[in-house]
Amino acid sequence: MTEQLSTQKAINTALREILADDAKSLVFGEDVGKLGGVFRVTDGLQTEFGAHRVIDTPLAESGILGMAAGLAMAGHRPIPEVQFDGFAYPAMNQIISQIARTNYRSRGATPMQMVLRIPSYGGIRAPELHGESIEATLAHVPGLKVVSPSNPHQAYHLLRRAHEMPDPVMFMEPKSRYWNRGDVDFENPGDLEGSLVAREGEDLTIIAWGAMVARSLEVAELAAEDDVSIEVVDARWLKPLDEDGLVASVAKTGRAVIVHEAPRTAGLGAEIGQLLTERLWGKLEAPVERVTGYDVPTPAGDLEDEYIPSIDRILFGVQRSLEY
Amino acid sequence: MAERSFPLPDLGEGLIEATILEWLVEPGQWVERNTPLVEVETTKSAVELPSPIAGTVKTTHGEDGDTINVGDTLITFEVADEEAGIVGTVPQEKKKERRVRLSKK
Amino acid sequence: MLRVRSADGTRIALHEVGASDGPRVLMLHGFASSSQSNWVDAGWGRAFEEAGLRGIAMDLRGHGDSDKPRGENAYEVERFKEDVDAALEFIDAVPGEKIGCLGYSMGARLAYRYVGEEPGVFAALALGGLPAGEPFEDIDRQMADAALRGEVEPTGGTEFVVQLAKMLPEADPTTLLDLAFGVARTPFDPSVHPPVSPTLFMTGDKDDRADDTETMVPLLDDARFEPIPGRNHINAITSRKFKAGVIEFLQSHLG
Repeated sequence: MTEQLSTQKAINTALREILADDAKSLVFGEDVGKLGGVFRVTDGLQTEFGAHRVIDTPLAESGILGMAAGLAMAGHRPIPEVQFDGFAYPAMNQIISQIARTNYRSRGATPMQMVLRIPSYGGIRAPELHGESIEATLAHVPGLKVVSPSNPHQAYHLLRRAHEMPDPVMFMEPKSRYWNRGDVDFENPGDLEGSLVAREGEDLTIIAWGAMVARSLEVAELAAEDDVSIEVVDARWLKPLDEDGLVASVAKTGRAVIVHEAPRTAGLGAEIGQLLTERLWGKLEAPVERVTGYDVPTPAGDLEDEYIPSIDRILFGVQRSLEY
Repeated sequence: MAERSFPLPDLGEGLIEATILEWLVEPGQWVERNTPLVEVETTKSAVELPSPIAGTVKTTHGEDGDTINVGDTLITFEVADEEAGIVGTVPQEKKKERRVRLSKK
Repeated sequence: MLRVRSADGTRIALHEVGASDGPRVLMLHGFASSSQSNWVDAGWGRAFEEAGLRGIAMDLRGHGDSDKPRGENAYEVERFKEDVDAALEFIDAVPGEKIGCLGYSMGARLAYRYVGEEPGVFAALALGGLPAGEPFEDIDRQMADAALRGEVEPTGGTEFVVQLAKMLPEADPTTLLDLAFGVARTPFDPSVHPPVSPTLFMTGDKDDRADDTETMVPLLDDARFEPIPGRNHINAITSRKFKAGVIEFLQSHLG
């Protein structure tokens, strides 16, 4: 069955099915219950599953993730939410010092099965700490998996997949895409591992994730008007990176532009660029280009358009690569 | 800013109209979601209708004592252009615009 | 919602209305109504939540989510009192603890009678829309049944009962008639065991079904009456003045 849903509704549907199918699953976070989430992602879940399975927590992310750690140790499968990306920072101690390494510490005796939902990235004119891109920070931590869906179908299936995984999965939802609708094919998830070619092309590969996939697809469409054929790869899994998939695309086109909203220095663009250089040394037609946020705190809403890679900035990056 | 209107909801089997007992809000007032808006009376009972959204009341339709039909506009709000949540706004779909043209070497 | 069993096995539905914590108030709705209709839809949940009062609303037997046994015997006044016992057991009421009770119309009558015989249970009694006599007097079962079948036009008190019994589409009119006639076997007389707890009477000043509430005040040691301005028996339940009066009264006695 295929249904047209917003990303918001697709995630809501996945959560509903997880709660219905898995008695060990629990949803909790700030305002996820009575209010149904500030983005309505958990709307109706508390009414349906009760306040003992869909739980409103105090405004204390360290408590939310501390509780998630304890529940996971006790064999539950928590699905906590931090309301906004920037509020994951107060919980970094629980995430890095406990959740990420308990499985390792216990020599595999205590897997920490959980999915941490993080409404992520900018694009909704929010104040500071409500538009951060923390994927590199999380990907740097051994023991965590990091995934970021780009559309409703991916959001639905990747969340269900993440819930089945034995490791803690950081699920980064592109909040600016919550309202965009798309077909969700419930029976046919497609391949959920690794990256995904979102648009095929010959001249150059753009690698992106989250909200930047949609923007890169727009760029590819505009580039086609100029007779430039761009392949867009949705990286999806940011930890572990789909090394073979990313390399395969760039091996075909010879050129790569990596697009992310996070600051440039030590961002995942650097990691992927290095990967491509290692694996494709001598076969690249141009240095790997990065189009990213700047090395400044993610600005508040009014300056967002200057910070987040725009269509023109990505086109510039493409042109630099083509001209090399 | 945008306007959103809400009709008198279906208040139960067979009821087609209700009488406004008392407005609990007035134009210009900011209300949260679920704030009581108005008391209405049907032939069977009296109910307090909660606000379906947060917003500023623009118009209340009907005076105390008036009878209005289910489906008729009851209240109009002035709301921010679709709000994203507690903060932010829903991004508007824009036409793809660019200044940069590409050329292959 | 949670169902408890009363002494005769009938399941009685209890609904949480208002704050999840705070002084407890047992809420008893009126005839041919329900906790949902009398309290929740009328906005008492929000009012109690803001006031920090924890309401436990009981669906009277024959109503709402409670069982609806057939036959007048199931609706003797004694059965209703046992239902209140079961609800209080669930609330975990310890003698001496300050629990309030709010009743409307038939629910107010039940509260009045209950407290009259169990004086220590409620620290405060708020009674809305309560007439001073038995409203189901002078009623004729044969005429009522014939009226339900559409065979006769009921008259007098019977007309009133039949009209109420048919009012809610989800209710079963025959059950409600069983109830009305069962309760009427013990006519209400406010001078018998009047409550000793502090009592607030409130009735709409346009309520022609309970226009004599105030006459009960002298029967009680500690009672007062406040009219609900501009309201009748049906529409008093949503009134701000009614809610504010009840909340202020309950808070002052349960705090």
